[in-house]
Amino acid sequence: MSRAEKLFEAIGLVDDTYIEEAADAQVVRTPSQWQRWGALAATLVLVAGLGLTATTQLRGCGAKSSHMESTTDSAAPENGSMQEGTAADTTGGSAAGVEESTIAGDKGDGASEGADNGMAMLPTDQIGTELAVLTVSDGAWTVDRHTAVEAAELVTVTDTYWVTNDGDADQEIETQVVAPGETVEFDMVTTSTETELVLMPVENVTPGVWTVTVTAADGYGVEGLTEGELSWESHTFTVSQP
Amino acid sequence: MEDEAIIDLYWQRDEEALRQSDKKYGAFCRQIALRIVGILEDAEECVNDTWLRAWEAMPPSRPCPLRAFLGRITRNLSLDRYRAGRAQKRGGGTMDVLLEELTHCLPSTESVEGQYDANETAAVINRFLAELPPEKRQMFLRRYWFGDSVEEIAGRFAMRPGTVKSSLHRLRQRLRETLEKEGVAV
Repeated sequence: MSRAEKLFEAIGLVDDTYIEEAADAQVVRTPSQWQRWGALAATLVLVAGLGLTATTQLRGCGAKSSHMESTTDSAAPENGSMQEGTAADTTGGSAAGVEESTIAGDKGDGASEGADNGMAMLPTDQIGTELAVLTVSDGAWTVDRHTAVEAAELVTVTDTYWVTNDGDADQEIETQVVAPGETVEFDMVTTSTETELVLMPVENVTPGVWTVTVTAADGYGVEGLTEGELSWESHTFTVSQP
Repeated sequence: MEDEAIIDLYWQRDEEALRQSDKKYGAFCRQIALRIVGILEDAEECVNDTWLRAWEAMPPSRPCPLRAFLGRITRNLSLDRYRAGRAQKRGGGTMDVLLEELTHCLPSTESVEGQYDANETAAVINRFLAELPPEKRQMFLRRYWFGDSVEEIAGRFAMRPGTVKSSLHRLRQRLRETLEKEGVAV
C-alpha cells in the first residue's frame, strides 16, 4: 500500500460525527440572507455606487493592512440607468504604477429597489454581470473572471477567508458590511505562501464598468495580474467606476 | 425505514435488512464506491459486498449512525477493489487524483520514524479536523472521504471552484504540518 493510500485509509477512520456532518453539508445562499449582511474583502474592494474610487493597501506581517478611500463622481447618472461595458483582457503587469482589470457589467433596466443599506439592489436579471476574483495560490496571483449565472453568485461565496502567518495559527477574518465611501481597515497578516482574496463580497453590485485596484505598501505587492512568479513590488489595483 | 428498525432486521437475521439497507443507503454507498473504483460494475459489487459485511457485523454490532458505518465499509471495500484493479490496470475513477493530492499531505520520510498505525493516524486526523471551522472540515471530508470533485464541492458550498481548490490546498498543507508535528508515520 502506498503512503498516500495509507493516509486515504486513515481518513476513512475519522469520527462518525464528522462523516455525518459532511454527508449533510450544504450551503444555501438566499436573498434574504444577503440583505442582512454584506462583506468586504480585506484588500480588494469593489465599491458599489457611482463614481466611487477605492484603494486598498495590502501591508506586511503584523501591520494594519487595508483601507479604502472613496470619492464621489458628480457626473453619476441619476436615473439609475446602468453602464454597459466590456471586460478587458489583462495580460502582464508592470513593475510600478497602476494595473487595472476592467470588469464589465451588464446593462440594467433602470433604477432598482433600494436595500436597507442604501445600495441599489441588483435586479435578478443581471445574471450576466461579471465579477473578478483575485486569487493567490502557491505564490502566483491570478485574476479570474466569473460570470454570475444566478443572483446567488453575486455574493461572496466564503464568509471568511484565511491568511497564513508563518509559524502562527491561521487567522480568520470575518467579512464586514461596508457602505459606499466607508473606510475600513483590516488587520491582515500575510506571507508569501498562500492568500486568498475574494473580490466584491457584497450583496448588491451596481452594474457598470469596474476597475479593480489593489495597492501594496512599500516592499509588498503584486506585479501583474496574471499567473506567474510573485514579485513583491509596489503595485496598485484601483476599484472605481468611471 | 428508521435505522433502528433496519438494524433490528439484521439482528433478526431477516434478509429484508439487506433490501432496506440498499433502499435507504444504496445510492449513498454506490456514489462512494464509484468515485473510488471508477467502474459501475465494480462499484455495484462493492455495494453488494457492503450488505454482506453488514450482515456479518450485525449482530453483535448496533452501529449508530448506520449511514457512516455502511459508508465506511463501502469505502474500505472500494479501496481494496481499487488496489486490485490497479494491478490489473483497470478502473481508477477519481482515486488517482485524490491520492496524488494526498501525497502532498505526507510528512517527509526523514522526519518521522516508526510503524504506520491507521488508528493512530486517524486519531491525529480527528484532532486536525476538530480544530477546523465546520465548513472547512466538511470540504476536506467531501473531497477525501466522499471523493467529491472540486466542482461538486463548489456547488454544494455555493463557492467558486477556484476557492475550493485554494481551500483544499491550504487544508492539505495544514494536515501535513500536523502530521509532521505529531510525528505520525504514514
